[in-house]
Amino acid sequence: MADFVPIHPLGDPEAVSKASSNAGVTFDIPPDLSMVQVFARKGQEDNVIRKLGISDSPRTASSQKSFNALPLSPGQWMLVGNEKDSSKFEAAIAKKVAGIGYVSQQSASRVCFRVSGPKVRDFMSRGCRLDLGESVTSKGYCAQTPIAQIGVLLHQIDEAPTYDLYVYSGFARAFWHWLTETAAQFR
Amino acid sequence: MGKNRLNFGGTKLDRSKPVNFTFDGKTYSGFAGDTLASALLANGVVLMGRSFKYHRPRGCLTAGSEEPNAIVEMRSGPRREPNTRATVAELYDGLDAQSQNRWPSLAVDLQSVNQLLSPWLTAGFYYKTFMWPAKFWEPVYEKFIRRSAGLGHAAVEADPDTYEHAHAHCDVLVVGAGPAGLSAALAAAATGARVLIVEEQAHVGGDLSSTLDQIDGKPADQWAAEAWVKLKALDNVTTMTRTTVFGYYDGNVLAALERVNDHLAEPPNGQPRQRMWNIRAKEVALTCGSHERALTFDNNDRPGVMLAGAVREFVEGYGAAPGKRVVIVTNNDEAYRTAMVLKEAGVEVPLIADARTTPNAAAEAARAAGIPVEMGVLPKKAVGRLQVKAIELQRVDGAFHKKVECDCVAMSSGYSPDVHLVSQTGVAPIWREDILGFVPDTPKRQERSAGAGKGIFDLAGCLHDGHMAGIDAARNAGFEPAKSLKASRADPTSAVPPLAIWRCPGQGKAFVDFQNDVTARDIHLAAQEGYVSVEHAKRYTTLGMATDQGKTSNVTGIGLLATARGEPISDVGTTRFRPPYSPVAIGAFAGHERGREFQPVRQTAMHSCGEKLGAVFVEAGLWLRPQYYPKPGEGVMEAIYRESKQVRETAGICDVSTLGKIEIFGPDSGEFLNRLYINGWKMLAPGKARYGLMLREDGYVFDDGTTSRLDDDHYFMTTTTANAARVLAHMEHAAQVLWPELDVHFCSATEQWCGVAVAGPNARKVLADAFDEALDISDEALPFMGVRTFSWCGTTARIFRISFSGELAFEVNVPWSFGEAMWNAIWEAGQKHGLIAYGTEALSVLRIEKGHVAGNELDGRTTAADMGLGRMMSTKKPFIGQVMAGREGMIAEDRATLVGLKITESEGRLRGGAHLVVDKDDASAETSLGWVTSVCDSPAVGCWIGLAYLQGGLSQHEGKTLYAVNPIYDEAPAVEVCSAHFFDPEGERLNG
Amino acid sequence: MHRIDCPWCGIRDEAEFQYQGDATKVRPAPDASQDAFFDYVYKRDNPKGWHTEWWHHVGGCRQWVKVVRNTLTHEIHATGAPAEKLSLPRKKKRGSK
Repeated sequence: MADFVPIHPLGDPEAVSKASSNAGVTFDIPPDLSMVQVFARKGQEDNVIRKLGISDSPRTASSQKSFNALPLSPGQWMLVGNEKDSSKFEAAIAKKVAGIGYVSQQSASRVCFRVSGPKVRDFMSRGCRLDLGESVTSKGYCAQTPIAQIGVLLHQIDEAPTYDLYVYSGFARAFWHWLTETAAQFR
Repeated sequence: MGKNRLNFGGTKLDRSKPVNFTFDGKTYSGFAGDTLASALLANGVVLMGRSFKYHRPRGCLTAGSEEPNAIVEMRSGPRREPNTRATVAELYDGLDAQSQNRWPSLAVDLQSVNQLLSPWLTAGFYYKTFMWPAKFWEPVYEKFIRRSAGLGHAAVEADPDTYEHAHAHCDVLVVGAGPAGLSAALAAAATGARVLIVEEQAHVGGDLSSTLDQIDGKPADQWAAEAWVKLKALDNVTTMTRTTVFGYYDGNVLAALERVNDHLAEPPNGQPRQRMWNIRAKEVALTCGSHERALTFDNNDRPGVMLAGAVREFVEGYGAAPGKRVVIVTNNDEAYRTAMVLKEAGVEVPLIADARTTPNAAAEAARAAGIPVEMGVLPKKAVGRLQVKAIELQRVDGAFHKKVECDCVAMSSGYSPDVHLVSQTGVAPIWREDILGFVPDTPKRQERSAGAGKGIFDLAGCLHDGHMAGIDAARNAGFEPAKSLKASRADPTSAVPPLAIWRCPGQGKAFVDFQNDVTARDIHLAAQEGYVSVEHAKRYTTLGMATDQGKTSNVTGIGLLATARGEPISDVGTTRFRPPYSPVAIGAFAGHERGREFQPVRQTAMHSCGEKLGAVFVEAGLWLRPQYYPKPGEGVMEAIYRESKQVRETAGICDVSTLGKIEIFGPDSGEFLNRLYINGWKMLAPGKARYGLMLREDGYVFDDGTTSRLDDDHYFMTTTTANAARVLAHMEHAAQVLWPELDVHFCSATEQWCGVAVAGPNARKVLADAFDEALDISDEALPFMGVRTFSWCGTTARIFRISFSGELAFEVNVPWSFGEAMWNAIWEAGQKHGLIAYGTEALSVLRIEKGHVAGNELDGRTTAADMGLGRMMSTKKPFIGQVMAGREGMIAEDRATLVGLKITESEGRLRGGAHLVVDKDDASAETSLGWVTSVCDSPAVGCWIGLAYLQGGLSQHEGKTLYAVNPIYDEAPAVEVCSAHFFDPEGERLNG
Repeated sequence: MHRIDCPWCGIRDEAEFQYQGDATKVRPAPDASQDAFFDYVYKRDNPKGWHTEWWHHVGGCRQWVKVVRNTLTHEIHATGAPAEKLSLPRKKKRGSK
């Protein structure tokens, strides 16, 4: 059998992101992320929070050694791990929440675009309706919001600031097109 | 340098940067910082346009965005832009402008004969003249009106520039950077609040660019420039120029248009031409200033007759003299400032005619400076045609006074506070007789007005009022000012109130609304004819309805209407202002969302596989799906026919990734599905799939799909491509609102799993070769409606033994990132088994041949029974839509139900949408027995076949001949009614 | 543009929500009469003034949000999760009938 490898919705993401970065706004497409959506069973929300060691804040991600937990809605989180083997990641989380929650494999469902650079706040204002002002959001800030008509799960990962923008894989090319076209003015 | 360029003034100019431009083909020179209007004036050009109705020669009336007259066409080719105001168009090298609304030239406009017809072109002219016959409207009247009405020409080609939307948030938004606005922004910024200050012009300070006053001991213009520098340096302040706030909406959201690159010939690479801002402000300070009004006297529209403030602005701000000899006519103190500036600039002012008789300090000061002033004198008539040559004056009692030679008249009838934005919030402006202006009433939103915008016209007052507004706004946004915070100061002045003069006596044409050519007589006529309400008079006369939205004319019009009604202005009131404040290009509203980016395109993981095989794609919602795969030289119908035939003979592969997919977890999943679907789910064994049908709460069919049980408390639902989002929302409603007690959890997995259907007699062989040792898909290991999870290439895959085509078929799902790899693996393995790729059209042919319903049949008006699926409805459990599905009309005997149709003619074809009748010569809505939903040229049946809903259904019509009438194509082929299960009704082919 | 305070996400633009109608309607028991369901499915008041509505936060957390909104002034008085009981603002004496 041929040795097939997973193919990124953008083809070669590294080459693409490097070629499109510029002085004002930089892009990166972090490889090898695993994602699972975790659901707490009814009445087990606190237990899941405790078991995973995450926060109950609706708008702040919690960082653990092996994953970031991004809150999605009451009793639901997206856990993102730096783990190439998504099945292994899924199994590890499933084990933790066995009996008190469920996990859904989502590693392939979204693509993460990492956006930063000195003009990134101006850049984000071109499509993001949220207030990402320096005095308003800080590291860990999480939100779901449409950007350029495409649903985005947003996570501010540092104070630079750098934003991780997760979009559904089917929209990856359309979103990438918007990102690069809009960033052109910040060269 | 232009002949009327002054060495004086020019605070907005960069005299080191000369700029060349053309107007009506002639080349002129100006400076960076000029507007087209100021540069033309500096070159001695006062004639800039022709009026809308009478084609009268016009120059600019104002120096700003309220300009009604100097409307020009800018640029050329795809960037051509009609109706640009010359007074706001910033000069750039190579600017090319054309005057509008004239033929053959601006100086000789043949359509100015309209003036001779003017007795018939009065208010309501269109309504009265073009009334009958009605059939003349489109072919005759409309063409005539369109040709005569001067609105320039839009570009024909697509706009090459880009536009974008942007979003801003602030504690305090300050609208306008005049003295009050700057003062407000400085005060609010000092509290630490996040401040956004937005200025319409490129230059800040508003009126300060054309005043001789001082602020904090400095020239006012210098103070403004320094204030701006200070604001820009603050971290908590954002400044914007060339940006017009044009709308004030619910939720304290305001919209603004930033003209990012209108001042350049073309936007620099990567930059948009314009940017539309959505501003969410906690608090707003409206410091929008005021608009000067024209005096209404005969021929007050002659080129060279301008507002006094505009004359001052051209001289001081742009160093451009509108004339060499300027007469000033006024009813207020402000116009005296123009006289003083002109005097300073060395322009001759032979006379100030002040309508008032009370002595005032301004007049004394003017006399002391050597400018003649006459009190109790009004303008009577401007003399001259293409430019004013003299002004005739009269006494207040109407007696002729004298004639004064001049080439420019600076007029002022007082100032109207700019209440447009506050009026948009629903606040009705209230009349103040002492200032002759409407001012904002009590706010309804988080806003306050300050400065001239609320009727404070003196500089000291504006600075103080702006300061207080800034503090109030910041405080309401939660920021406390330091006690030491002080406002900037200017010398206080005392003004004598203006005198109300809405019409200087005369018999000729005295214009109120210059852009729409509305005269004082038109308003009088409207009142006489009964249009006494201000809203009616506006629509009847078109007062204030042009692109300038009546900024210079509304109040005068209301004053005239009040006079005609014999009532005070406060009883007449104003019309309601609506967004936009000034014209906004459609392109700016569209932003990125145009052409291919009107909506985002959604692509499957195997999109490039389809591309490589030459697929023609079709839009399915936002998705692009391969519609068919034409071979070289093959037509659409041939390709579809070949694909559908081949699948039944060997095997085909189809990208089905766009189906909605939902993972469902929890101990109550089965119960939840029971309530969603009409059929039962609790008894479905793990490892099995089942077809399900959902109703809406009103009892009609909503969606269908296959749902599998992967584990005791884990189901996997599929929906139709079209309804994926709606089904998810429906389930969220059920789980969150209807039955929050159920322990059930779900999320979309549409883009986690991509899928292919592999169908046809060779399907098993193809997959066995593709997945070889990974998978046993024998009938024993994977029977019909069986589901298995298997490991492939280090990832998890799912295989479903389900069939939409009626053939031996499988659907395989792998994670999205493995989609291309899976397609390639199956494609390679399938070559020796005759595998072909088939698109949505062949998919449709195959399902029509089997009588399977799809989107065309799930049209929101059909019941489960209509589709022949009535027996699926469980009576053992409740489900959504169950009760309403039992209503009388839903179970009526005469409902149209699903049948099959076969064409019985050798020629011709069937079409969806055709209606079924017994007698093709008597086809009408009354005789229609049903309608055709889906059709295809079926290889399996050997003719055109279709699905249809037919009253009485198969039981009444089987074997009968009907006609499928399609009046659009003028076709009515004969069809035989048959079972919808055209092909393999026993379902034997499912086993291969 | 409405700005709606989603109990989970915070204040968001109206554009992120889908309006889902009257939130005062309660689904009848499954064995209720056709009349009861007819009322639930089709009958709606069209109030001028305060109204309790569903706004589905499809662009955010995908929660159904209950919103007390004035249909005349577009003012939003309160928002809450589906289970919350939201009361209408007390009527002002002046102007009330």
